[in-house]
Amino acid sequence: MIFIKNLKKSLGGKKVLDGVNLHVKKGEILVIMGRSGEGKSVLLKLIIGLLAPDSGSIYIDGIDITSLNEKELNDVRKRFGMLFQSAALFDYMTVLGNVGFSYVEHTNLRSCEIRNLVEEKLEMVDLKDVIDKKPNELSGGMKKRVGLARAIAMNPKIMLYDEPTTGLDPITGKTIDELIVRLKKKLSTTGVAVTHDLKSAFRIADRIAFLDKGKIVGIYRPDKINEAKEEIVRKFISQ
Amino acid sequence: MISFFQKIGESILDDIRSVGKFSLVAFNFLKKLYTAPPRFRIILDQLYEIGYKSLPVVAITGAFTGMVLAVQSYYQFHQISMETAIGILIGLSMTNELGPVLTALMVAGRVGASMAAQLGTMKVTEQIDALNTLAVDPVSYLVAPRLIAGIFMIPILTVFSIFIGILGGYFISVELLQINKTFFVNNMLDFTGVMDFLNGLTKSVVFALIIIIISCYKGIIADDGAEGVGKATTEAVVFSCISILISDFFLSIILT
Ligand SMILES: Nc1ncnc2c1ncn2[C@@H]1O[C@H](COP(=O)(O)OP(=O)(O)O)[C@@H](O)[C@H]1O
Ligand SMILES: [Mg+2]
Repeated sequence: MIFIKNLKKSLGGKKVLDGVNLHVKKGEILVIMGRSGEGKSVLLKLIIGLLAPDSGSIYIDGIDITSLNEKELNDVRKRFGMLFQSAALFDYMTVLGNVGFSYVEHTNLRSCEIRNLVEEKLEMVDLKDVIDKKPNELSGGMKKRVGLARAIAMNPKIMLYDEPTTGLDPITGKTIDELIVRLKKKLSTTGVAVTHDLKSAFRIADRIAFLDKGKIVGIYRPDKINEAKEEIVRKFISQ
Repeated sequence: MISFFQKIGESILDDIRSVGKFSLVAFNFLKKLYTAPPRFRIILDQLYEIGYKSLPVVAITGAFTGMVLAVQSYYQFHQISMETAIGILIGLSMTNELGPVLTALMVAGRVGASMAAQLGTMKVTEQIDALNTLAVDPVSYLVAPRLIAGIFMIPILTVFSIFIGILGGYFISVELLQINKTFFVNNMLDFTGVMDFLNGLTKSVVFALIIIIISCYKGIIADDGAEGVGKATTEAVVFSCISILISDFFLSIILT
């Protein structure tokens, strides 16, 4: 599904990723853990082509996206949904405008049809009576849900989650994790999530990869993680 | 000593690099107008934002400029008994200079600042990244409609400001300073022609490009955080205003 080969990226004169190798299997959720500033967001942005790598390749369904032009890249991006750390809702639009954005931009659906579809997606993320609200009227957890609804609008094959629970209280965080797992089963998507929250990782992950000093240092199934020997992994599980 | 020169050298190199980067982005903005024209609906929003909402500020500026011109030139011309030439002065300076330049400066302050702030906020809150992930090109979605609306609306605002300015000047000259109405109007029409209008309009189109491109560019490259947006907004207005005044100088040379 996703193959990453020897990916390198420097930003602001600093080597952020220094040879990342990773394979995400179809239908799984792979969680990438690492300290803040370790390059987790950068890795996600590389996977969806928001940043271009210095070297290395990223294969999505066999296509190396690092060699695509802008138009081809946009076609590949339609297979993705991404949930941003801050939800990144368009703040000048209502929830309807946000969740319905892709329908307006990429389909010829009429506005009543779009409204119905948006209601449907909002239901999938357990939201009611918010369709005409603006993002600044919503709580942090609700914003994440709207962000999720927007990301799944076009039935993506691959979901990327940037710190889905960071900044939320533990209870709201848990409900978001449960939602992620539920949506994955319902829509049979493949997922990559980055986080530094081990509890959250355990709830959603099929496998957990650890990013340290620009490289993936180990990948474990959640139930096998105690066997890990790497120092960074030990530090995370003893937190 | 060496490090002093090294610093100067580096800062010059930095400047050249930013100019290079800016030109590339500006070129890309204009290219996108052709390759991915925006939908009418989004342009309409911007026409309203740029045009309608700037009307009061442009009207007030235009009116008072025309009125000040009349008052100032009256006292000058009065001493040599040439009061009737006030109409010529107002007509020529409003159409060629003050109409386009003052309108552009006001729009740079109002519209440029809000564009840089809006796009800058979208940048630092990852909304521009979100557009990309939703397979929508941020330049054709955000910049192109603003460019089109700006190129269309700023000249219209300029014409509006010229007329209000001339009306203001007329009101002061004829109604308050008791200058002969026929002389005022005839003199103005004799000396202010279509060419003067076209000069003013040409300038306003160039100013529109300057304001929108600089403001969108500054917004889109804003650094993270609230300071990043503040800096982008300030720089958008300052650079737009400086570029308007400098290009006005060269345009005046070319057009006359
Ligand atoms: N656009 C950028 N320009 C310069 N440096 C950046 C940029 N984006 C990220 N970085 C740097 O890359 C490193 C990794 O950032 P990031 O991926 O956001 O970390 P995290 O793992 O917390 O998500 C950080 O040191 C950050 O300062
Ligand atoms: Mg991050």
